[in-house]
Amino acid sequence: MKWDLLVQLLVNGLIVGMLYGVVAMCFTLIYKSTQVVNFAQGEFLVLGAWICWYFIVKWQLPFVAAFAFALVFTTLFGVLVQVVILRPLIGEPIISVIMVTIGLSIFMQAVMNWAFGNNAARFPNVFSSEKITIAGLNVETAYLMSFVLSLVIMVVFFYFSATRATAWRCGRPLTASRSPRASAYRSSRCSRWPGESPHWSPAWRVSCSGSSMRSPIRWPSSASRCFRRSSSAASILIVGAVVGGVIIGLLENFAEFIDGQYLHIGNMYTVAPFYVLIIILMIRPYGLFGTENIERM
Amino acid sequence: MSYVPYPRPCGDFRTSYAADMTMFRTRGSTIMAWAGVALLLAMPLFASDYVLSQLILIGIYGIAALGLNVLVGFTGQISLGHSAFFGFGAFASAWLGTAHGVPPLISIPIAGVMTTALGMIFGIPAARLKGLYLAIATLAAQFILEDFFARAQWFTGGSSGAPAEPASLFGLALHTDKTYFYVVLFWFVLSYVGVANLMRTRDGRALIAVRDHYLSAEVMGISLARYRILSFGISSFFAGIGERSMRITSASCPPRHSPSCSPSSFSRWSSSAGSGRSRARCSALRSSCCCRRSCRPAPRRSPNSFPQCSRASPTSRRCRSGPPSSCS
Repeated sequence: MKWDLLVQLLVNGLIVGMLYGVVAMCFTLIYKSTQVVNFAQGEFLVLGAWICWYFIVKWQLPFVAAFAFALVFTTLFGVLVQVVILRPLIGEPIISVIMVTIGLSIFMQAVMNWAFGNNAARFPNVFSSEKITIAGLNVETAYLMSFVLSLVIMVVFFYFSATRATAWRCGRPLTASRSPRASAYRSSRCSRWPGESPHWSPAWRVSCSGSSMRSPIRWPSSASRCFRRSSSAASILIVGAVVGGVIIGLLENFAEFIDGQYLHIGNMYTVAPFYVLIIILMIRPYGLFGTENIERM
Repeated sequence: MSYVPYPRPCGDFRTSYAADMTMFRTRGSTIMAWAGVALLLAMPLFASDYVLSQLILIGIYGIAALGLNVLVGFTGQISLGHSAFFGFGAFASAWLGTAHGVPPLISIPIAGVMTTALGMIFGIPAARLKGLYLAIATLAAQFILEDFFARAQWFTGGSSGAPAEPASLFGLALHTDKTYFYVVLFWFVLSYVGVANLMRTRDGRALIAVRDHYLSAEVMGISLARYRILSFGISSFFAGIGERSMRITSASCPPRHSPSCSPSSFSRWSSSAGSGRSRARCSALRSSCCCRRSCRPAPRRSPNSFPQCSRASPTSRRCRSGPPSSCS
């Protein structure tokens, strides 16, 4: 048993899991506030990464400026998508919503292929050193920075939802609109704000993708795994998303370890979480943190 | 307005069970259906090869979409893993042909049955899940199956794809578009008649009841788990048949094929799947509500916007006790 490898993998899993958690937070925020399931979230992430890459490589901007631009761009884009595509879907059957967002994801994939090319591009080195050694563990600087950033974002999110009544007026309608769909129409703000939420993660992904950009295919899939962690209250929302993300991240790496050391099946890194997902859903049909809706006829 | 030969009634005015059980609503649609089949039968006589190949594709996708319609349109379940079932049908029949020497025409239904079994296995989570969670579970099924395709070389033939023998019937090879067109047409008509009949049976009505309101259905004694899984099975059967047909047209089937027609292409079909509703919904309403006149065509907005009679609400009680006119 190679303990050091296991620990290394688990640390990586924890960091990646935090990123998944941020993605999951965006999912749940949108879903809980508008009842819209955004299957195009993965494309949002990739778009953010591409935009940042574009500003750095083509415009030769410094990373921080490019990051800020990408943040602004994806915010505007998120608002646009919300207003044009997602808002008419509020209250519609879930199958229509899923179809529209899947269509959106295909459309965005095609547009990004057209605009940025088919091949994965290498992100320029943002940080001076590639790796940092902490207590004998090698951690990529980009991963470490993204870990810190995800913590920051989570705290901001938590603050956003906890102090919704006073400081940020947008938080309350957001939670108020979550369960009865009709009340989502009550204030215009509540249908506007959640649309802006998609921007948080893509911009995020920009930093976390630091050194390499993965294929666009992978992200939607990994992101969709985090769906089930939707939870009832906004603060639990964040906890659920983070816990779910970390579970997935740890699970992926643990599966890879077991596979590499003992089983030698291959590809477990990608598939194992899906098996676990189905098992969890079989045991808890409303997700780990979900609340069961008590329905009447 | 001009004269319409067999007008479609502007409501549901059927008064006997026999009339309710008819397959076509008007004589006009009966004639049109027969004429359509006759036209298709005559098609190879004058259509070009290109048109024929397109028609074959239409038929194949039509069969597979029909399966999805059973699942999404009639049972109200969501499946994002349908394309994986579609692909499984292809590999299953190729595997039957190459490894076991099953002639292609027999392997079509066998592959359909195998896909049914697979669909029912992956439909088991559907017994407990609904809505978004079901979508996630079926998406997971898609990835698991893709992984299986990539791994099971003995089954899929690896990255080069599985070779498929051309179909033959009584020693007559069916590898041209003209002859193959008839094979597809046969399965196409059989599938559509089959599903249309299914919706007239007890099981079919149970599926519709599950879609309309699953709690009411359960209260009425319909086993949710059983019918949800059954629906997955039926829809996978058609996916299996449809894809098997496709396998014969394209001489080989690289594994790329099935994953690449990701959930998306199927979700496109299910947009039309929703349109299978209006008539079916009415018949389900009829079963749950004694009042016939209330079965106006339901507005096709959302599942929540049914006429009130579909729920066991005070409204429906009023329906039963009051005169028929009171609830129109």
